[in-house]
Amino acid sequence: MPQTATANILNILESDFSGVVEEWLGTQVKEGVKRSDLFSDSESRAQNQELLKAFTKGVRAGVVNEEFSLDDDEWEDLRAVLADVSKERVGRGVTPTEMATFVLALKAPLFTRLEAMTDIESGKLISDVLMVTRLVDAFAIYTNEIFIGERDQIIERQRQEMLELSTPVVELWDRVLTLPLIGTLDSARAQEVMENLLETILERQAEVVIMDITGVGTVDTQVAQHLLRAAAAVRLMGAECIISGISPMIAQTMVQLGIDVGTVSTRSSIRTALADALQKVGYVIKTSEVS
Amino acid sequence: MSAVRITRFATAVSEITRNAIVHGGGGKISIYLDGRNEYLRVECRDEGPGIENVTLAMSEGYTTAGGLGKGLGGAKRLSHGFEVHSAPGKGTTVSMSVKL
Repeated sequence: MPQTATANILNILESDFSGVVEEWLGTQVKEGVKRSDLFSDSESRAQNQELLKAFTKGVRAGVVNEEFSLDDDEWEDLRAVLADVSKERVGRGVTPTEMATFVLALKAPLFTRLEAMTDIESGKLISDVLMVTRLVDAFAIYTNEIFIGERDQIIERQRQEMLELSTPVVELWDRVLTLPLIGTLDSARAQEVMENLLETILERQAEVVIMDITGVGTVDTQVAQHLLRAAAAVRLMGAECIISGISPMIAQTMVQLGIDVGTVSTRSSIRTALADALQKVGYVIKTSEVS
Repeated sequence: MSAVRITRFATAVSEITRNAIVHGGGGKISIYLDGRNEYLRVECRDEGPGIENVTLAMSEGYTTAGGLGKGLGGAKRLSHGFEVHSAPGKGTTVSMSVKL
């Protein structure tokens, strides 16, 4: 009975496992994707061994009638190892191309071994090669997907961190908080700002909050609405809100837009707002008499 | 162009493009300079549901999205030239211009 392509590949993987690992490493070096600057030899070897072990397991159990899908349970090990390896590699700055080439380099050792197998009649080699290609390609595509997913997660996390970082609530003085806003104030950020601010008011027992918009380029109706809502929430918590840093440009624009700030106090600079706030909580700023 | 004029026009463009995203599901924006470099025109076009009554939509305090209802009228006051072309089901095109 003629051997199936999968059986031939499995045979190679099982009988010459370490040979394949070594040659795979060799091809990675040749293709310039081993990144010995980022991973030591033993690390690379261990990663390749684990990947190939999981891959072999998948080939053994997960290919039925020469058909397979890496989403099946039999390939779970490979997916898990790949997730680990990808995380490690993304973290150290490996590019997606390098990662895909890294996996695709597995083809070379498998091809040479198939060719060397004497019991393959000439016509069958093509179908064996095709099967290796299908398996390794699927492996590489899956790797890329995981790789990109991993990157997306990093981007999402950084976005989240930036969002939190960009809305710092600073305690300027006893019971006086300030919130320096910079850049664009979209709905997501406005929400973040508001939550942060209200929690800090409670935590610090603040009585006056200065929202400084010196660093906000444009105040359109939506930004204004966010600011006024935040001010209203601050008032509901019993604190007073001063919006500072209203430039002449923004003042004119807001008037033309017909935005009514109502009872919210506004100041042109954070300096006047601070003087105001300190007075409100009972402090007096005096020039020292000692010269 | 003076800083005030830039801020005013940028705010108008911000109002209109946000409308195109919120109500029109996104759209295209084109920027033109007139032949004699006197005017800058920004045209914002979306393929959204369109505006049934443009005059009503331009009026102060009218809103369908819980906003302040000042965006469209405000944007008109912030630009030197302002035109809205819209019909239900036909999308909306807003053209704004500023003197350079």
